[in-house]
Amino acid sequence: MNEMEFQDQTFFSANQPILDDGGSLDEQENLQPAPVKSKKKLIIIIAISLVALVFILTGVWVMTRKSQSDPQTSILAVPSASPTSIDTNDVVFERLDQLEKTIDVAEPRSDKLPFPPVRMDINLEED
Amino acid sequence: MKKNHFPVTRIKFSVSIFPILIISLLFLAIASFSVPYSYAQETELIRSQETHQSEISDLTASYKSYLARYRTLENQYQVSVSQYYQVQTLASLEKAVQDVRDTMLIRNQVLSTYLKILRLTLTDTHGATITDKNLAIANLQSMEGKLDDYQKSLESTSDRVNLQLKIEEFAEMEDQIESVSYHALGLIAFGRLQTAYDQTVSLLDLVNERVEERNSGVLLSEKQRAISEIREKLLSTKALLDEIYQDNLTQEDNEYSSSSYSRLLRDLDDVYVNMLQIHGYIEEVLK
Repeated sequence: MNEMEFQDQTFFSANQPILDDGGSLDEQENLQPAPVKSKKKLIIIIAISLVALVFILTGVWVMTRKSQSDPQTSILAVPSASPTSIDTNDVVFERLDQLEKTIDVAEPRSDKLPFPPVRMDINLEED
Repeated sequence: MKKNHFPVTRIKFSVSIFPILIISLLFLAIASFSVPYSYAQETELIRSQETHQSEISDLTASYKSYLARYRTLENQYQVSVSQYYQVQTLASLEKAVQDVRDTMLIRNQVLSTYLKILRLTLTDTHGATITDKNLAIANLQSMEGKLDDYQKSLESTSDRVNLQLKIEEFAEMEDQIESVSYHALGLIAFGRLQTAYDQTVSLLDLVNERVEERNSGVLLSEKQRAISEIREKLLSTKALLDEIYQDNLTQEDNEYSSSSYSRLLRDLDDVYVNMLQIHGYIEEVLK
């Protein structure tokens, strides 16, 4: 096949109708040129991406709000030390400190909640 | 012609990557929502503990203020009653009745606030048997209710006869108030040491791991013997804790008093000393 023949064949392929006139609607959609189809798909993708982006941003916003509203954990909450992020050595000493505090709080003699120093026998009688 | 071929290839490539891109984005969106959700659950738990802490702080401030007021009124009531017995007039009787009633009212507020503080503190304390803890919390709540009712009826009392009835009514509640309070106090004191024990047990496992990682030979053997010693000490401490619980916090008659509480604290002192010693041993092993 010489160069002339090849050009004629490709010219024919590019311009000939893909389907006959009697094709279905779906089939007729396929008649749209490739750039138009890709444009439609691109619009759909962009729309989905935007929705996903809104979800992500909302999630990030919610997380930021939560972290702002909980600036400090309770002293009763045991700090969760992740061995993957912190060295085991740090975890051990952190927990040793925590234990020291727990033992201090647990000292039986330092009664922090003594029974109220009130008279239980208030009456109209003279002492 | 080459110009026509290139876009077709690019579109095919884009079409094949589109589903992956969409799925990735959706996963990312779900993940970004699930992270704050789990974070929210965790902070919710912490917040509930914080709420108790903040409630306890508020109640403690109220308690101190009621107690200060009580001290003033108690002095006042003693003077009024004394004067009534000296002068024996209707006016002095009226004053004495009023002052006794006011002192009883503020005492009621002191006690009621104290029971609330105890209940919340006990709720936040771990280490005690859950059944006993729930029983103590229910008893405290019930007593708070009784004191609230008593407060209302006392507020509407103004004559000597009815005041005398209120005094007798309180005398019947007195032992119950003390009993539920000392039971809760006992569980709190015990729970705190039990928590210290639990923390030590889990810490010792970590210490053991660290020792095995960082030592070898004679030093490792020496440290392992030290850890065995600590474990022995922990076992005897646990046995002591169980014995103390059995002896002091499982009374069938459910009658706890100042003396039973003092005995418990005295017994727990041995556990406390053991825990301090164990803490020192662990520090030594980690050196």
